This record gives sequence, C-alpha cells and structure tokens, in this order.
Amino acid sequence: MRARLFVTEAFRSIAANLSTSVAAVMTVLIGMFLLGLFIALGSWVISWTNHVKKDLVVDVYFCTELTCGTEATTKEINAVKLQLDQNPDVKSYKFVSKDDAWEEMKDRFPELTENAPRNPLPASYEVIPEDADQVQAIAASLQPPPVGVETVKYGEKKAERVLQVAKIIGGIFLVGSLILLVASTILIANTIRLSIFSRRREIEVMKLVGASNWFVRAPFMLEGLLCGLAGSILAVVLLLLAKELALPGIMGRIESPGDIQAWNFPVVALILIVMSLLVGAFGSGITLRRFLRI
Amino acid sequence: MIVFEAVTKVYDPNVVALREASFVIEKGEFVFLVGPSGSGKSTIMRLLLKELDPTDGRIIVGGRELARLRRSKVPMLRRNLGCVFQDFKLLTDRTAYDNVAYALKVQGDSKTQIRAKVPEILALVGLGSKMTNVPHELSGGEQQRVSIARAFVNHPPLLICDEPTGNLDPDTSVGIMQLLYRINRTGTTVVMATHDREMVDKMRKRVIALEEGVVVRDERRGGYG
Repeated sequence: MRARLFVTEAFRSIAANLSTSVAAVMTVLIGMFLLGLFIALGSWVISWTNHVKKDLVVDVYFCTELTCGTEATTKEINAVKLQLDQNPDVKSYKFVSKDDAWEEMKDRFPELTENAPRNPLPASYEVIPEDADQVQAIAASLQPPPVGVETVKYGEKKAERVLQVAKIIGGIFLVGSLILLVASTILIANTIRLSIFSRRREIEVMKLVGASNWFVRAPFMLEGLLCGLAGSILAVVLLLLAKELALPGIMGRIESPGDIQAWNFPVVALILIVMSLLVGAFGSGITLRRFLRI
Repeated sequence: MIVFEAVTKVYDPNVVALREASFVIEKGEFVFLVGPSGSGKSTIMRLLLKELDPTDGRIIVGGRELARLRRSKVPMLRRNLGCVFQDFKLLTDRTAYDNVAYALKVQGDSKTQIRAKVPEILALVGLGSKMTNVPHELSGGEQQRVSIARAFVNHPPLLICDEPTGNLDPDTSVGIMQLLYRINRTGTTVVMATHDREMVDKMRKRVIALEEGVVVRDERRGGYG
C-alpha cells in the first residue's frame, strides 16, 4: 500500500518537474557514457599490455665448446632445472635442446644455416615468469651464472620499456576512472541538489502537515533511482551502438590477437547501471537531510 | 491545552525573540496573539509546531512536554495540530483535493477514507465546486480556505493560524474569520496571530498582546490595544 503510494508520488513529481528530471537523466547519461567508454578503452589497453608482457621470458643459455670451451653436462643442466623448480617466481620453463634450436634457426634463416659445418647453437631453458614484472628477479637469481651456464638474457631494454608503459597505462586508467567516477557522482549529486533545492518549500509544507522524514524522502529517492536507471540505460544503449557500429571500423585497422579483449560488455553495463542507481537514490537521500530538519 | 512556562527564545546572535513568556490556553478557547511585527508572535507559532526549540522554559501542548518529544515523534504532534499560514503553504502543483488529501496520506489513511473525508471538508469550507483546481487558479481567500480545510481535515484539537488574513482583503478576511469561528465552535482550540485590529476588536475574544518578546497584556475579552 505504502509502496504504491510512493511510486505514484515519485512519478507525479517526475512529471511535475520534467525539466529537472530530464537534466538529471542527461547528466547520468553523459557521466555514465564517458565512464563506460573509459572502462572499455582502459580494459582493452590493459589487456593489450598483458598480451605484450606474455612475450617476456628469461633465456638461460648453456655452455658450448665455442663459448666456454666445453659443453654443459647433463648434470649441470639438471642443477639449473632444480634451481628453476625451487623458484616461486617461475611459472613454467621449456628446455630447448641444441637440435631444437638448430631446427628453429633453419626455419627462420635458411640461407645462414645452409653452409654451416656444424651446429654452433647452445641448449637453453626458456623460462616464463609467474608475472612479467619478475623477469629481472629471475635473471638476477641466476647471477653469477651457475656452472655450465654461459649467459642469462631477458631482453632488458624491451622488458623495461614494456613494463614501464604498462604501469603508466594502468595508472592512467585507474586515476582516470576514479576522476570520472568522482566527477560524475558530484555532477549527478549536484543536479539532484538543484532539483531538491527548487522544491524545498514543498518539502517544508510536507513536514508541516505532519509527514515523517521517510514519507518525504522515499518518493525523492525513488525519483533519483528512476532518473539514474533511465540515464544509465540510455548510456548503455549508446555504448552498445558505439560498440556495434563504430568499433568494427576502427578495429579493422588495428592488428589485434584474439586474447586481447576489453571487459565483457554486460559487466561494464552492469557496473554503470548499479552505480547510477546508487548515486541517484543515495544522492537524493543524503541531499534531502539538510531540508528535513524542520 | 497549551502551557507556556517562562519561555525564552534567543536567535543567534543574541536576538531575543521571546522573553519569559507565560500563559495557559484552555481547551476550546479562541485566542488572538497580537503585537507589531517582530514582537514574537510567529516565534510562538513555530515553537508550538516544534519547528524551533525554546532556549529556556517549558512548553506543554495537549499534555505533552515538547522538549521531551523525540524528533521522530514530531510528525505525530503536527498531525494533531492544524496550522494555517499567511502564505497558505499549499503544494502548488496539486489540486485543492490533493492538497487536502496529502495531510491524510501522510498519516496512512486509506483511499476510501480519503475519498470520504476530503470532499466533505472542502464542501464545509465552501469549495465543493473547486476541488480539481490548482492553487494558482484560486483566489487568495479560496487558497486560504483550502489550507484551512487541510488543517482541519483530521479534526485536530488545536488549530494554530499565523496571520491567516494577512494577505486578504477585508471582506474575504471576514469570511475566513467566520470559518475559523465555526471551527472553534466545534470544540477546537484556535490560536491566531494577527495584525487585524478591526477583527480583534469585533470578535471580543481573549487577547494576548506581545511587545518585543514580552507578554504585556492578557485579557479575557480584549480589544487590539
């Protein structure tokens, strides 16, 4: 009974204050559209940096006659294997024998290998770290190189750059999202405030004829909730349009392996809608407090 | 019905609106509060509604001490206490009917109850034919009648009126006063703050006169001054 009364009151007041209601919906729409765009873009970029990070490996090259004078023995190779097994930073590793390396070399540079008298390549371990940030640590744990290891390489320059860029992008995404989140919250709250402020006389009258705080507050909060819902649904629709219409045109030009993905669209949509509902309802409720002290 | 015991109200910063005001109003009385602007009439009204709390002294309304009334119980107080204002304080986007109905909705009356009570009270104040008009389609006197209907629809034991005729021409004022008088005859206590010298002199009712926050006169069948 009460609930129905509040719903009719809320709709009545939306209709009676159509311009402010529209303003509130538009504010939510713009804020949430931008936030959604940013989340999609940011999560795609982060996914991209993760993809690039995957290429970061540590190569442990064993001795050959050419480099150290003697071939690394099986015992020495097994000692390194043991060390890698015990390192918690190591996710997995792959043994590349001399022959494997030679095959790969032949595939990639046939003209170079054609006339070689014998296989000069070392055996190696290709070590994949648990986290790309740990390549340096893993490399450092193998310094000085154990007996039988010629050198440990991890593409220092490339690694540092990729990690740095990834960190910066991650930071920008986080800070940007927070700023957008705060900005849209404040913007929405402010619109609600204006709409409530313009109706403070109405609230005063309601209180004077004996309405309890909740009786005044509930329709306002419901109104905020509905505006938030309408705005965020519109934003989601716009984002969906952007995704379906604009994205294929852009993505056609960017080389994009399959494992680079923005967050699931439904997840982003859900975040936006829930956010708007909360901001709408609680923004109204909190703003009202000031005017209810009569 | 109402007891004021040495009530003092000081607004920030150090503006004394009411200084040790004491009086007792019995059930069923019709009382005028008179005095120039800023003498404390409206402060008494707002204290009665617990819109304000006194700086010092005790106020008892309907046997309940207002200082002890919890904030959450204030709506209950106001439902038992009709109030009429100079500026009507109607909800501008609602019809006369809905304005009166709102006072019933806040206390949880059912639709059936509302449908029975509202037309009856609007007919009583002489607005039976204008129930669906919104305030700006009504004259000042008619708007005040709507606000009286809203105040009286619950048949509260106490009706407080803050210059109800302040915005109305003399003829319309007489109509409003007659209405209030009729309400008083049903046993409702009426407290009315006013500037209307002629009206007070004509009615010959109890007059409490205020000057700069002090009760300077309290006469059974008084005139304006």
